[in-house]
Amino acid sequence: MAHSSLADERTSFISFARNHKFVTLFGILVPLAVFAVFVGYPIVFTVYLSFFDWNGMAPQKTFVGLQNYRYLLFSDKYFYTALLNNVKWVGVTLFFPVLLGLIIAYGIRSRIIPAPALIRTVIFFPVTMSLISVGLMFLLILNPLFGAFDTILQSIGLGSLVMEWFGDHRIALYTLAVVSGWAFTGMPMILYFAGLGDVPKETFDAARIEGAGHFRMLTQVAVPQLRPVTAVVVMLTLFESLRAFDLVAVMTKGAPFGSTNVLGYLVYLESFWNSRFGYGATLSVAILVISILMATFVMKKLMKGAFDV
Amino acid sequence: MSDVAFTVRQGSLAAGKLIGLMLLAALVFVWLGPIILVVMTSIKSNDAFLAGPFALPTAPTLAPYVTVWNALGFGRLLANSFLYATAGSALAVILALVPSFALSRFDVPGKKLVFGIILTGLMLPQQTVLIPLYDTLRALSLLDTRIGLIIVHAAYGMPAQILILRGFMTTIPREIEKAAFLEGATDFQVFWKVIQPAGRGPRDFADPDRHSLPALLPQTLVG
Repeated sequence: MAHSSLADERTSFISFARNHKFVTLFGILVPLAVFAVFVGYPIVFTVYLSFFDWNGMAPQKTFVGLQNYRYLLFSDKYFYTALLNNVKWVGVTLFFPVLLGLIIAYGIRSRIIPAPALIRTVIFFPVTMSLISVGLMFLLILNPLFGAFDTILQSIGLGSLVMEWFGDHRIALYTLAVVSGWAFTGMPMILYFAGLGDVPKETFDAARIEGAGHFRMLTQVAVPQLRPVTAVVVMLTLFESLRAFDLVAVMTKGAPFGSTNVLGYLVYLESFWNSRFGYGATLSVAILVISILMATFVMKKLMKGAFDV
Repeated sequence: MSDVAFTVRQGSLAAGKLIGLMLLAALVFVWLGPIILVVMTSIKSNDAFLAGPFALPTAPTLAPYVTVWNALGFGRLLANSFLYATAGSALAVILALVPSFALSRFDVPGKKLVFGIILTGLMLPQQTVLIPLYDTLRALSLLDTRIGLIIVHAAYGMPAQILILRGFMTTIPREIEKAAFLEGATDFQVFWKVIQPAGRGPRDFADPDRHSLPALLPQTLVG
């Protein structure tokens, strides 16, 4: 298809709209309207607010120009810690739940793992749980005094692995990320499971005839076929990680020493605890920009070709 | 739904089955274990818990449940959450159906832009949205209403559903609808008759909306 100029795009959109009224109305205009009200306006408001200093209650907002941004970029060490934490969080959640979800889905489909309905339900159930419940649950399990996890480790002789899951500032964040991964694994698993079901059986049969074992089946047959699903999974994971808030709020509240601060939680702290809504807005703008950058990157790399359907 | 896509035999059958069972056991332990533990803990009295966090409850008591129920007005909270989750998710999926249909098979000019715009809905942190959302609801006179919250749920759940549904709709073969179009079906008819039944599978996956409790709901659930 030839690339069209902007003028062509506009006229071709109108002609498309005329030919496809139903699709245009409900498929394009309705979501755009919803977007404008619930996403567009908040974004505009947030960007606007990021140039002010506001305590949330006073009717007047003080204009401060780029001061918030300057503070963000040059003076706020919590921001950079939180940013790094989000990167670590994304690393863990892209690696552990996505990979595990894929492997489990493959395991179920290839009948290696029995009781498919049971395993799917069990693993997907935490996805439906409120993260607040998950957080409270793992506070109990990872408690250093009477937590089940430490007790189990000790009883099977791995007592040396016991650490201060929440108290050690070096690992607290990873604890949270792993808990988040535990809850989230069901999502990629279900998506990959469904995706695998759509792959024609002949593809796998052909590979089997060529002598492929499970490892090669998975890496060289399943994964390439699942590229569009992976794109969706990665994007969902990315955005969820960048917004991560519930677990931090319930489990650590940023402790110890702010080592478990993530960007989402920082926005909450600055806005609602420090009453600096303007700066909170600045942080939100930062999150948005970072999200857009990462999304564009993912779209380019993973959805190459997936869009020309 | 067929569960078997293929079978690869390696090694002896018994060994394979054993490994499979071990994997199953491990997975169930990791994902079901914590939940069972919490349930067990919840029906113990305080003393019994401190004595043995792991032990099976010898004298299970439902007293804590009763206390929580009464103290928080749990019944009403639960009913509200249930309403927002189901109605909100249902609305989100309904809103997402046609856009997914459109984005998956029509050559809409500016398709990528539209998709990108819809995606930004997924990127907003909850806290950021709180105040503008309050303003919006107030302007629409939907403040403090259940309908308002349902709409909010639907609006923020829609992008994720579009993402998932669009992906699956691209896997539905085009021949069916090409035939339908040739017979003179309108867009709507094609959408309704052809896509709907085929999309039933992924629609069930798209439904469970994890975030059924936005910050607007009473924090009393957390205590």
